[in-house]
Amino acid sequence: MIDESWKRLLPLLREREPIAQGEMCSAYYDYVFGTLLKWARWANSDAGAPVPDPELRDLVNELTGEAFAKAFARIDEYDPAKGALPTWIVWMGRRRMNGIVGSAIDHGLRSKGSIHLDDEVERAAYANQLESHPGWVALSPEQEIIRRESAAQITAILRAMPLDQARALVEVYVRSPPTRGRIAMVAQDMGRSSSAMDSLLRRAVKEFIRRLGGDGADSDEAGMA
Amino acid sequence: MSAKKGDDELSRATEALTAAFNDAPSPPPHFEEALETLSDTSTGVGEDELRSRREAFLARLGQGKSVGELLRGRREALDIDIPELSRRSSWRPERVEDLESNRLDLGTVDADRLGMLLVVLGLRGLGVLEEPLRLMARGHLAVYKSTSGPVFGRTRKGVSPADRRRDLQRDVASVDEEATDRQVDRYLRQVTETMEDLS
Repeated sequence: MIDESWKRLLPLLREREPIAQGEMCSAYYDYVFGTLLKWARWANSDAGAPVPDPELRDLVNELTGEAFAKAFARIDEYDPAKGALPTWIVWMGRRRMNGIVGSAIDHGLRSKGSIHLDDEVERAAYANQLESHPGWVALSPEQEIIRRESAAQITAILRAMPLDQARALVEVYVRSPPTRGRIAMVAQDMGRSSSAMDSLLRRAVKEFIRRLGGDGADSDEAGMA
Repeated sequence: MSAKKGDDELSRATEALTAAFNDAPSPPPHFEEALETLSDTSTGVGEDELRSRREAFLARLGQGKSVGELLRGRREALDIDIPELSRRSSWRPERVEDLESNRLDLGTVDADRLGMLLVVLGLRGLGVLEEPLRLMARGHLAVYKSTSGPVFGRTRKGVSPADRRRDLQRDVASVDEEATDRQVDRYLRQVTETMEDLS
């Protein structure tokens, strides 16, 4: 239950009085910050948690400041009949959530897709991730195949595959959380159009399955569309 | 084909609804109840971190504002004139005017008296006022390092005691920063305690 000290401050806030604005922040900072942080954590978790929590808390701190500033600047629009003032401040922050936290989540997702698979070490690390983070793998037939096989076999197959195909598979199905638009994001990072990425993925999956079945493993070109 | 068209229309409608939801000046119905459920659980963020974020935020709010400017703004927002404030707080009107013009030397103001004035202005804590008041107090309550002998000077009209002390000590003794910090902390703490007692 939110305490109602804001009612005493409201007339002064409408006069844009700075000390009253400070009193409002002192009284409700924790509530607004805490509520927005929970919201931001949901969004971050939903995207596979690409933003570390300490960074998320800094972003929400910034968001909280913006929420208060926006609420103070637009206090004339506030209607007490539609809810408590602290709730309205959270609403102001919620409206800016996509801009501040959403951008960081998008950026975090894109950064995860920028590792180069032509680097032997990073490529091996990807194979390790495949073993250690099975939960990151989205529920698709391709991934079910990957999960059935041992990490060593998968590593061997990925190493033997053409670089761009191996990268596409790992970036989309291992590195990216199972969210909408991940293929488009990886496509952007790999400098391809969405349709080219889609085509590459199809070839990569086909090639992966072919190698998994031991069919013509010596020929990189065999079975390609 | 028609299914695809239907999906596109649904996506557009959903996007339009989301945009309208995000741009609404007031939260939707039941938003408050939803937040109450949300605020029941802990964030796991420690009290120290919360306090340091809150204080940094308050310091930013008070940045660039003087004590006098803030107090005058508060009095005017409350629609109280100086004689009325003077009557309620037992401060002389000219002292209130001096404080609002940043001319009053805090070295001549008891912390308790300042606390009482702030309570009359409806304050329950220093909040935004803390950093500007600390800055002002550092100038007025400066503690100088010991000198080898006495320093003599005369009282001059129109010069505040703090300015006179500073002028007299110039090139003779430097400010003892640590002792000044302690003095300022003590002063602010006393103001706060008075406010708490009177609120």
